[in-house]
Amino acid sequence: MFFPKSKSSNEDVQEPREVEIQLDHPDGVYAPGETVSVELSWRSSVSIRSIELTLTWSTEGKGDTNSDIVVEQRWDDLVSKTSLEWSFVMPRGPLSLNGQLVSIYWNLECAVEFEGSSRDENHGIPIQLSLGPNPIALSRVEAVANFMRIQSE
Amino acid sequence: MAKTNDPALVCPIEHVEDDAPVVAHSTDSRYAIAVIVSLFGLVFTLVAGGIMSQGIMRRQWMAIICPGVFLLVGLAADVLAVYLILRCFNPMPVLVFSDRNVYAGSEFEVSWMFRGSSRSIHQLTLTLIGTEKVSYRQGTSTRTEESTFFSEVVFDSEDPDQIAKGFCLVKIPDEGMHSFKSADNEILWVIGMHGSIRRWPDVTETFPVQVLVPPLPS
Repeated sequence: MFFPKSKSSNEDVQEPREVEIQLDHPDGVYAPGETVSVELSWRSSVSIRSIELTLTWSTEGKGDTNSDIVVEQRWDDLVSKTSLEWSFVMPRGPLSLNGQLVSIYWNLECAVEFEGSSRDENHGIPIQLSLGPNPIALSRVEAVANFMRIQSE
Repeated sequence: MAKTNDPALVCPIEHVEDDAPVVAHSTDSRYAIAVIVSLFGLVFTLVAGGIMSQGIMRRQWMAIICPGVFLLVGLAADVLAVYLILRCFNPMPVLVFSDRNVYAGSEFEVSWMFRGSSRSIHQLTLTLIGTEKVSYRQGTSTRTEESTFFSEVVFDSEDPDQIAKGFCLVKIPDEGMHSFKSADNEILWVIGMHGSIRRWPDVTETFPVQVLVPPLPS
């Protein structure tokens, strides 16, 4: 089973994750309009109240961070279950980007609420939305002197 | 039931089925800028000049030096206002893009003409420019920064007939990023037009090009 690199709210704690997430594309690379299949599984001894999965894009770089939830799905009453399957369609954009001032990242975030416990588990799997194997990369070129300040609409 | 937000809020998608030509609108508001700078210069010059003249009559040095600084700012704004007012008399370019739906890798035709005589323009250059633009808060102020990631001259001529009315082909690079606009981060594509005029302010206009997100495979 493949577990893409994930970000967690409690990464410093060296304990196995209660919930494992598996994508049908091990590299996490998807094209616009492509269907993403997600499988979540957990041990039968773990009692889970609810799971929420969200697909978000966010900007990183020199500008202030902007983000948005594009797809959101929540499951309740999971006490008798040990796995879940879900699929959704990747949107057309924005495409993943590595720029000089701004980069755009996609993330599949999972929030798990345990039965009878105040402890929640949050982690995210990076997803790449691109037409090829790599995100679009932008490098700096010399600006045209007459158009140094581009006005937006 | 899954909730889905519309990605078209941040990146452009096709609005209409037909791919009819579209008239591009310049982002430069030459009249508004000229009026604002003229008013600013006028007010600064009159107020600072009035206070300074009273200081001269009363022989109060502080009442001369302090408004003198503001008077210099006002005079600089007046000079800029004259430049901007002269620019208002420049011929106004009208650009037409042959395709409304432009994607990375698309090639489309840009044609132009001028409202007003373009005979004064001795050289015309059109440049396709791609820019990253971000804004960020620093203390109580908001700063903006830009980085050009693509710049290609698509037309350059000194022929008066081609300057007055012409066309050229523009290709968005295959690996180019689509247009994107969120609250503080932007990817912009523009056609920059620069017309050089001797002993007069140049024609400098930018026309946004909406590069759409790639279409889904059919």
